[in-house]
Amino acid sequence: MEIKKINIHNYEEYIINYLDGNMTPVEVAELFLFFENHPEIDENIHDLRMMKVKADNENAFGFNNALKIDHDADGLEISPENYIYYFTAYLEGDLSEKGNESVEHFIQKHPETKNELELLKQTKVQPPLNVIFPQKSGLKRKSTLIMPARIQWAAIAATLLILFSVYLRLKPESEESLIKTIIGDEMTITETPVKQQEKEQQKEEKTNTTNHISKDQLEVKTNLPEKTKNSQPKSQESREEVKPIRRLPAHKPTINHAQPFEAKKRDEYTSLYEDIRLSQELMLAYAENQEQFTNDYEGLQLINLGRRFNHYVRSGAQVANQVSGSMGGWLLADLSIKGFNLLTNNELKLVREVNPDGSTGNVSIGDDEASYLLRKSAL
Amino acid sequence: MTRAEYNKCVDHYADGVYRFILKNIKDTERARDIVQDSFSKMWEKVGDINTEKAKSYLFTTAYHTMIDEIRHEKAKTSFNENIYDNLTVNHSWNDLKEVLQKALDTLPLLQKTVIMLRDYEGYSYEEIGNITNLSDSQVKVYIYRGRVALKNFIGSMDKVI
Repeated sequence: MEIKKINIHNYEEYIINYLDGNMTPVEVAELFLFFENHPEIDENIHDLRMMKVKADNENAFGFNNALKIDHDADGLEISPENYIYYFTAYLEGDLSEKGNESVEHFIQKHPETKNELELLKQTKVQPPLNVIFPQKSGLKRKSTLIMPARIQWAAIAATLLILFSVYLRLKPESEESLIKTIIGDEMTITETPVKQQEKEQQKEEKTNTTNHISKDQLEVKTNLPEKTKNSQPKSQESREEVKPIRRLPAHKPTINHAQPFEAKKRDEYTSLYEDIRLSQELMLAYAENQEQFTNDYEGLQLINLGRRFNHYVRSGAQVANQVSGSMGGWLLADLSIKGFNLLTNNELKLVREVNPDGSTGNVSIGDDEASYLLRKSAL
Repeated sequence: MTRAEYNKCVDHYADGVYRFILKNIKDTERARDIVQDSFSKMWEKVGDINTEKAKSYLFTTAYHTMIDEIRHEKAKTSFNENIYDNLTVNHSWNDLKEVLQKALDTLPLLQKTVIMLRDYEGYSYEEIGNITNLSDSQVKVYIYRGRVALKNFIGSMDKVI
């Protein structure tokens, strides 16, 4: 019979085998154990319990009793019919000390059963220690950095902030910042030293006052150690070292190497009219405020922008201006060519007329056919 | 259970689980897979398992995985056929240990399992019952029955030799 676990669905098959006498005593024991666990079935097979299957071989020992864990632990009921059960219990350590003595006493009384006990002793299986798992290291887990959830969220937030800031930096410079870049920085730079000078003067006045006081105090406290006296000049020296260096900060050149505009781009220029006008006028206004004009060049004034715009100008006269808020790019313009401002290699020209007093007159943009007036009056 | 304790379990129990499974299914690859699968399952619940219960958890998981595999493949080799093959083909055994291992292979899976858990790992009836989902009484019966079957097998081999 194929061995399978008895359950509510197949127990009838066991009953049939039991009635046919095809079950071993152990299987019978299992069947009755199942009935004990399922009293609702047990009631229906009361008659079955009354039946007895005749034992036909030496295996017919009392395994029904084995179902009780502590059945006759003292071995009081050991007999030639059931000694196998007690021998097995003896080897498994299920008997009490008294039970073990009973078994040993039984063997003395029935020496022909000793061989059975020896055979049972040999059924203890030893594990094959030579068999080992081949990839034990692969089962192990290495330490991994486990980030708490809040740190993960913080990391995500930081990443988003970085991306957002990068996005902001990529946006074209605004008009205001352009003004600050060209004019504002210069203003603040020239102003800063003046303010610093004033502050220094104020400081000097204060220190003079304190020096007077300290001198008076020194006159009184003539017994002061020399170290204190010597420390005074040192502090003055260090103050002189702190003085700011009066020089303009270096501006990095912002050169555009883009290809010049073609005539087809004229319409775009028209749409960018305001931007170009503003950007050019800012530069021109700056140039007018400089005192470094070179006069009398064939009746026109040459704006020597190369000296003041040396950070912006490359190869003589090319100036890069940012077109704010529209193209997001740069336009190239040539300045300082006999008072005219020309867009490099383009049919479209930015023209500035210089007045006899050196101020800017009309500023226009256009080509040979059309012209757009940028302004008429001086800034 | 911490990661370090888990790794100690690998050192202590991987071989035992592997022997237990390999003895039952006789397939190194599948035995290895079952052991790996059992340890993976334990790692998934590493936070819920006490170190004291780790061994029992491993054997239980491995045992049930093995049973599922066997059922899946519908192993049809019957108990009697095994005995017949062993008796008729492998009749030249002279080492008791080898005979016993062969005898063990002739047992039905459940008997074989409980006897191996008892002898290999020294588990109590209760512990074996927890692993195999059997009652203590059932475990006891299966062990007794397996012992007698092994005794009979060894006795019959003595006669043959």
